[in-house]
Amino acid sequence: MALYRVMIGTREYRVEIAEGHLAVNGQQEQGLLLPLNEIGLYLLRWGEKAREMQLRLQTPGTVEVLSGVRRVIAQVMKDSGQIGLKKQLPWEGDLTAPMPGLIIDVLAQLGDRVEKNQTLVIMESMKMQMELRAPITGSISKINVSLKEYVEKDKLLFRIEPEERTP
Amino acid sequence: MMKLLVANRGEIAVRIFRTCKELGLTSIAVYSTADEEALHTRYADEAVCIGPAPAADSYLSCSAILEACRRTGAQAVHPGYGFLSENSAFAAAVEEAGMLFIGPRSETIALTGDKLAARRAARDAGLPVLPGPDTPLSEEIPVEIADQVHFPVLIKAVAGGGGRGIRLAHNRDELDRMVQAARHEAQAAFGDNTVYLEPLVHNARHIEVQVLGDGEGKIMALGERECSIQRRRQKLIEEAPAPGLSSALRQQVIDHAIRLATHLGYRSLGTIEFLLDRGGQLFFIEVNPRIQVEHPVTEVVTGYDLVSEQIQLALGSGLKNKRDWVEIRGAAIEGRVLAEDPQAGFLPATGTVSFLQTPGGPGVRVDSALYLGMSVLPEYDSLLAKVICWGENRQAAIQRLRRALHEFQIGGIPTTLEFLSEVVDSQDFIEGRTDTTYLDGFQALPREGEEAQEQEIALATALLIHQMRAQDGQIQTNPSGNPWRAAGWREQMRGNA
Repeated sequence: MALYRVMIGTREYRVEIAEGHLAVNGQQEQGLLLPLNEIGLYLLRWGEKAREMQLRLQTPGTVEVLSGVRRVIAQVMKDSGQIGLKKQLPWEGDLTAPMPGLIIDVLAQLGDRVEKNQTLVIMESMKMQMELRAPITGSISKINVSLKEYVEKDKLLFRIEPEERTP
Repeated sequence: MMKLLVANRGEIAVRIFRTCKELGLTSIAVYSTADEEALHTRYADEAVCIGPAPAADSYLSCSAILEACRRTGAQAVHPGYGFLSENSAFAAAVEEAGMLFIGPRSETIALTGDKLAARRAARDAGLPVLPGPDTPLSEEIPVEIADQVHFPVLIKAVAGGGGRGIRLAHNRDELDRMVQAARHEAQAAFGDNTVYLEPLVHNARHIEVQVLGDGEGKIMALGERECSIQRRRQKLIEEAPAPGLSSALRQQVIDHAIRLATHLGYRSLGTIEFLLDRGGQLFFIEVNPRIQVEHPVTEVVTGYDLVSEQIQLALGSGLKNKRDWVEIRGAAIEGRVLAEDPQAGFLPATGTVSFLQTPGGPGVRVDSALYLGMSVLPEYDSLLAKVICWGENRQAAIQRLRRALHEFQIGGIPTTLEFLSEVVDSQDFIEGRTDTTYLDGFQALPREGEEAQEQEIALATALLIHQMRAQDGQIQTNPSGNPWRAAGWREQMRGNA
């Protein structure tokens, strides 16, 4: 069985593809993707439904989809299939660089527990200093940045795992 | 055969060329180097390159265009909208060179281009105008201004138009800063930083009237349009007739328009714009002395080809229809499809059109210069296409527009197609209860079936990648962008169908 994670906007979908069945976020049906021509027109058959879509690969991991009036860019990633993978959106806990700049201070370490909006990094860009803040409360699971590093826009700087809520 | 040169590009140039073909005229296109392969360049009978990509060096260059006229022996020039269409010196130069200018006299263009002079003319013709001085704001803002002016107040460029060069000041403290900003933008956009103050009409509806004049005192009115759905003062959805206007109010706005056009001795096509306030009061705003983007909705409910009317008038046919009024049949709504990304704050997008499917069927008209492989360029405006739908009443037109938008697919760039359909589906729009503030706080409601549709998209894209991995071992995009051919057919051959 193959597992994929598909991101559309900020929403994530888990897709399982196996001989004989397909499932999206746990919902399982018979289905297949049928090409209708050689330039990207497909028919998705899933359960009782049939939907026509225009699909075009933009990069190895992104697909442009035209479906009705919607145009969607889907990011498709192969999932390693870890059992017990937390069902949260990693994007929620990612702190990325809002623009290119120079990292002039790093204020948290791997494993630190941080509060939402706590300043984690100070970056200088276009002669301004800006504080980059934690998007969620949790603990730092990954640090991808170092002092005096020049980062590009959208570069991942910190990843924060949300803390488990006690019931 | 008479030769007509269109001093414009994109969809309006194609639009004019279509009528030229039908009238048996020889059409001449002008193009910048960026538009070498553009549809309008290829559609015309002849084409002349007039300069490099920046508009200032090409489509806005009087000298380049007049030279193109000389070289091709053009006998008439149609300026379209935007670019040189409201440049009175250009209109005069065309006529001095012995050619026909398909539009008003240059004196009229000069008058209507001065927003204060236009106000004075409107007042002289007996039209209601917004209260306020007819004179521009002096360099030094007078101390008494706070007494004279009702806040919030709009600061507008005297030489402006098209919704640009306008700022809003909420109170006296903001006024200086906003005036500076307005002056700055006006100077950059229109070469003139003179501004004037105009009271803000709250929750106003934008109503405009299409007129056609023979230049000798006879004016024909072709009904009104409503253009209240605007984003940052740029029109997005327009319709004819204006929904829910009482026949008395309709009569009133059309009479005002006819009166002003008569007063101006108006020649050719023009639009008189008004604001309608909550209390049912009309106020004159400005005259647009040219064909407008939204002209198709009028064409569709009246059956007139407005470009043809303009050309025949210029050729001396006189106004065919001796009546002031024209019969309006049914309702038409136009949606402007822009190369802008609503999810990125409507940032203009550039890119290549990789897929194109335009809508069809009864009552659907698409005006565009789109073609598969077209490059969307940053130099020019972001209008990709106009979808115009006619119905026997407004509800039918709305349903038709909804259907047409769902058939319209453009790949390779973000567009406002989905945003348009969200507005068209919104309750207030359907009930005709919108005004010029409608899009300011517009939030689309989540739609039924949207989540299920997204699940299907997720499934399809995962399947696509899965099939490609199965075939190649790794994903590659080949130059033609068709990596899935073999994978897809192979899948089918395995008998999964």
